[in-house]
Amino acid sequence: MTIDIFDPTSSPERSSIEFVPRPKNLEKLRVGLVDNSKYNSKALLLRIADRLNSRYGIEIGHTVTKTSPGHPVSEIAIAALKEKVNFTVAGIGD
Amino acid sequence: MGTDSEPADLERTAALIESFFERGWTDGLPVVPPCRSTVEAMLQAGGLKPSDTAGEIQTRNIRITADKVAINAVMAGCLPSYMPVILSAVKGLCNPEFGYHGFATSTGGASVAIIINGPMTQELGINCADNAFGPGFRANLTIGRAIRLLMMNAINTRPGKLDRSTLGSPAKIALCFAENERLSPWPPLHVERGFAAELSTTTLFACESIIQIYNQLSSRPEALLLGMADAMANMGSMNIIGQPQMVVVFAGEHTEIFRKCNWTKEAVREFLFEQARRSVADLKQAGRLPGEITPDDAAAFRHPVQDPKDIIVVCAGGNAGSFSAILTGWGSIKATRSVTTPIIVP
Repeated sequence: MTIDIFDPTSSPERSSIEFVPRPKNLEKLRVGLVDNSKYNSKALLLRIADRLNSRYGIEIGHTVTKTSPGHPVSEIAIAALKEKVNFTVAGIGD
Repeated sequence: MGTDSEPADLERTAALIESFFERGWTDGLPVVPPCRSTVEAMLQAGGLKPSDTAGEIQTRNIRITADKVAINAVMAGCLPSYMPVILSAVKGLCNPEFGYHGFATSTGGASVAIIINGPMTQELGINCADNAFGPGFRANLTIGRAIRLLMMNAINTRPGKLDRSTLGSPAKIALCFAENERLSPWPPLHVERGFAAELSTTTLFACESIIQIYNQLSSRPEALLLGMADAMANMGSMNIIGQPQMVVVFAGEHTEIFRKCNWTKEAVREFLFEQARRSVADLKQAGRLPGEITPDDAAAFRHPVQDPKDIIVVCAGGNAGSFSAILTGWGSIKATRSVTTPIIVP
């Protein structure tokens, strides 16, 4: 005798992501900072940016502060990052 | 064939229940194994086809289909008549205002409090009185449980994976109750929020914790609310920093005090807002705010909510006993807001 088992689970819908090619050289690039609004996120990100500047001459091109840690980065913010920076560092804090 | 002592179908059912545990599909409690007839009955009660979309959570690339809602509802032990309530709660869960990804993943361990209003509460026997938060009522426990099972199974919100609660709480299994609209001297929550009294609704709230408030001797609202305000200003809660909404629940004996003294919900909110506060000095000393304590900090105050309107006032609980409760909020007012959704019966 067979028994049908009803599966209560589902998975996220797959979407394809195209990765931007990695820069061959970090010298003088522009970095974007995405602050998730937790305590110390901004402090951590600025410290990282400072080190990137010391080592590679990288400047901060744009900063974004999320509405909350659980919110996605807005489309407007993503568009600004695409325009103004070569890569982004997103920070956790706490 | 069964053994000499057990019929074969009982043994098969027991094996099926065990297989759901083995697959990791339960909340830690045995589930009701779904079958074709029970899943179809659930879908029919919701007026949906299996592939219909019940909700979407875009931050997780998740589309919740009606069949998954039905299956998890059966597993929770729901009756088909509960399906419209569950579908309303799923819409609330998926409402961007509710901010699913934050509270559901957080180490903060929020439960989903479901407050139900309107005539369906009586039609379905959703408890609003004695043991409003507790055991004993099928509708309350299974509706709440269905939502949690759906979260775990269909939105992958599993402990240790995308549910990183440090401690969690028993309320995460189920926290679902009806507002006691007969007891209440005030307009019910859904009417306050613009819905007709004859409509039924679910209101979802990301609840950090439940704190019971005991006060036997107060005969005036001010005295009663002072104790409640003290608990609201708890230095260890998320509210005092992030200032999410908060729910205050008044039960029978306490509700009578407001009725006798003609206090409105607005008066309750204003008083609680004024009284519930902690000094910045205290919060810095307790490490809840950063920085050194300055001379001005003792006279600077922080409230557990940003605005009196963020205090949600409802009546629930039994007629006897000098108890009320606060449901503290998760996260912050930017991260999540309670959402009220109509219940639609097809």
